[in-house]
Amino acid sequence: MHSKRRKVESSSHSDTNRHDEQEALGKWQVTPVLDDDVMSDKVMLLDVYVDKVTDPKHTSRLIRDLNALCPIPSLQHLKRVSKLGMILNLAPEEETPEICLQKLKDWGLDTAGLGCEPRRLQVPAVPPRTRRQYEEAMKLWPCNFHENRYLEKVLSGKLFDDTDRLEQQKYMTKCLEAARYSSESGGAGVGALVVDPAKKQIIAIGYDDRGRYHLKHAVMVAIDLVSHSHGGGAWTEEARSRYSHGSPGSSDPVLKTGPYICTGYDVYVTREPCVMCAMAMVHSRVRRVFYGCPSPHGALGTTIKLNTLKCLNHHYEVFAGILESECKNILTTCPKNSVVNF
Amino acid sequence: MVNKWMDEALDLATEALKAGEVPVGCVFIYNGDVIAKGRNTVNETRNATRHAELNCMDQTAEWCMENVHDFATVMSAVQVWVTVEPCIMCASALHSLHVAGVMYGCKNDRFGGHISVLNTALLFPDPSPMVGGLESDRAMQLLKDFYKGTNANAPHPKVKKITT
Repeated sequence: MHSKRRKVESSSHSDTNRHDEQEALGKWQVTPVLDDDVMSDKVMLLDVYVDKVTDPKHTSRLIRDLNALCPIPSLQHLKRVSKLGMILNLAPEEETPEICLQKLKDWGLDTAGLGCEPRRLQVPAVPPRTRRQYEEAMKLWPCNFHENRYLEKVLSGKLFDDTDRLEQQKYMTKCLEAARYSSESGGAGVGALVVDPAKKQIIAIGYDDRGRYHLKHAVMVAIDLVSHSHGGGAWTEEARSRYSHGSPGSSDPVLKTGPYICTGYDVYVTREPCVMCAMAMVHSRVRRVFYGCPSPHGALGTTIKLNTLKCLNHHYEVFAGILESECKNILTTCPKNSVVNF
Repeated sequence: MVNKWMDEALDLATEALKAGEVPVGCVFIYNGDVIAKGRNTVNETRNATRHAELNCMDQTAEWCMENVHDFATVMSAVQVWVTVEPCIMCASALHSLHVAGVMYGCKNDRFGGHISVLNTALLFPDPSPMVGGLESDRAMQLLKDFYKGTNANAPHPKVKKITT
């Protein structure tokens, strides 16, 4: 009887929890941190010479001849002809329409069917990467577009449903606990968590401890805890004894056959990581990074977007804004003298 | 010109190669003495951030504890000799600690945080000076020797191997 009552109580309690969690979902939004090339809907422009087609019977022959005599590899994304006319060639600043036309004649172009009065026109210089860019580009000149469905989903904010967001909120709530611990123990008030999304298993939780050692940023600590769970690690023992918030990975027997470092893992961190931590996550081959609030020294959106540097050999996805205001609040309550610059 | 500190760093890089690690070695000089000697221990620690420079920083922190010195003060007077251009992570850590200077050997085309991939100095208000090109051939040869062999723990490479 007694135990039954307790059961009822606990279930109603979890209903309230669920209600609170749902309500909290409405208070934050995920923002993807993407390459500027993708975010912008401004179309880069390039000058070309365009001529009217006076006799449509010649259109297909002209396209064939122009593509053979004067191919324009940099403008493969554009149709050669539109209702505005036919693209003859690129239009360098110093080149007059007469020179352009003369060159084509010299190369052997039969100009029958053309108006022979080329005019300068601005056309999209690069292939559109998003549907919005495509729509903008189409206003200027017809072009080809291969839609990246995943990217469109990310841009439209439809990548994550409520189940995903509840999970993100759950993990960030755990990060916040670590961040509070950090703030109380002289750190910068930042917490980080590494999770294996395939198994929904938390591998490690780290807290910022830079008051004691300059390099102990939450992300660096969490990465080292992951190494410990794989049978390695450099700092772990000390960090674990001081902060015992469950890290099932690290209490496991030595896991020698783990994935390559953090391959496939997601990292949650309350504050936008600095450039050192952002690069540490590249080296560790993290899959996705979720952070709460931006930071003035942040390298995943604020000062730079390290995740979009094309020459790096690994790229993770970045999403900002998870429980943003809660994350920000911890930072403002954190004692100022403990926050070392960067 | 032969420099004894770079020689010492190259010895550490050679040791890393023998241990199956990416051959990068580093020494920290403080008041004319070596206070830290490090090499890559990524495979040993299963932690991809355990680069020579960060290992040296940990050693310096220990040295400061033992000798009752302030870590930040010591670091700001440290000269760093490292065989390869520090990566973006290490270069950032060094700038953030305002080390007196960084002398390195060959460039790091894949991850370099000085000139090769990202100039991290631009992200710090008071960056440390960095100079490269010392004994770069010897440093590069060690890397070439490493990449000729195989790193059993690495995933299939997407990027071309380092070339000069």
